[in-house]
Amino acid sequence: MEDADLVRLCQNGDIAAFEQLFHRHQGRVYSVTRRMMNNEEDAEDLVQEIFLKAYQKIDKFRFTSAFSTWLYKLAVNQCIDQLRKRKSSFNTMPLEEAILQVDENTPEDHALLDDRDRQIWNAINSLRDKERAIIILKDIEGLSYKEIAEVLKCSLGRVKSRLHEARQKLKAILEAETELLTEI
Amino acid sequence: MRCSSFRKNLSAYLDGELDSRKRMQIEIHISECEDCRREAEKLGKMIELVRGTERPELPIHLWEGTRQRLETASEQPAGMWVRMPKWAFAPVGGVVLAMLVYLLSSQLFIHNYKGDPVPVTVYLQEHKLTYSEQVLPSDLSSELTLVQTESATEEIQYDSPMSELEMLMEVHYGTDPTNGS
Repeated sequence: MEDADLVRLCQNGDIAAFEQLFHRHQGRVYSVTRRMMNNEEDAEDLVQEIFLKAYQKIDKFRFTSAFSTWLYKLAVNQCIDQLRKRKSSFNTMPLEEAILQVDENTPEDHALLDDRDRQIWNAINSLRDKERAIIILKDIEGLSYKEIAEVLKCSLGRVKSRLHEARQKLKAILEAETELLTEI
Repeated sequence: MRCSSFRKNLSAYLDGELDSRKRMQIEIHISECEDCRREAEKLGKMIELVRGTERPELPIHLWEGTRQRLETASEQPAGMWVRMPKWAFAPVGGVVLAMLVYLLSSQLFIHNYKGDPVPVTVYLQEHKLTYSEQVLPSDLSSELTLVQTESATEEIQYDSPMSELEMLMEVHYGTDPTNGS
């Protein structure tokens, strides 16, 4: 059954159809959320919140875009909102506590990431939230410029320029802090 | 194509998002400019590295947690409202609006009535009525009649044409004609 058919069933209150949509899309939503939040526990909690919101707002889905694009939009907005809230509370935190919370990866997370991946993600995490979002949507999730424009609610031209800027910044960080690009 | 224009379009070129004319211009520039060729290779390599990072492993029980949240939300009144279509609120809205209109209009009526009180005696005089012509419930008639009788007498004495004549005679002759002197 297509996503659109399952959405129609959900709009009539069919929870089983929503469960099918959940299993179909949880990987994408978790991937974006986990990378945006840079913390496994926060990501898990937020994914559940995103799907709850999706269920509550499913009546507003108008079938003008793919359901996955709509879900990405919900996920990116939730992540950016959450990060903004976290930053505002972070600003009122004592300095020592803030320093301790900079790297939110647990030792288990570090063990799972190999050295190359860790260097790349450290560089990506030093980008601003919206720059990180556009890199994740394009280079990790493989969305087209048109889909990204729908998710970020901006023009194709803006997607092109923002992606160019974000990649240039990421390249500069990787060149300055790693040797991953020096062999070329 | 200039190097600055090349670099601005490089990301879109690597993503296959350029039209054929621009793509051809980029390819011609790459073949002619060594610095831009190296830049293209570096950016391509970086994109490849990012794409090659491992996908995070999905936590188990993710659906269980979500299902619990859905259940909790549907138990709360807010959840119920969320699931109700907007048109379902129309009849309720109509009833509330009708009640508001009724209350407002009755308030206006009461305000006008209370804001301009008319004493019983004045009302009776204006409508050329006397207390004897009133049709009153038997249990209230004695009390109301008493009040109306006193007031009506006062009003009649004050406004009667005889009183005005008496006043004129007093002004002209300095006497009270009712005294007979």
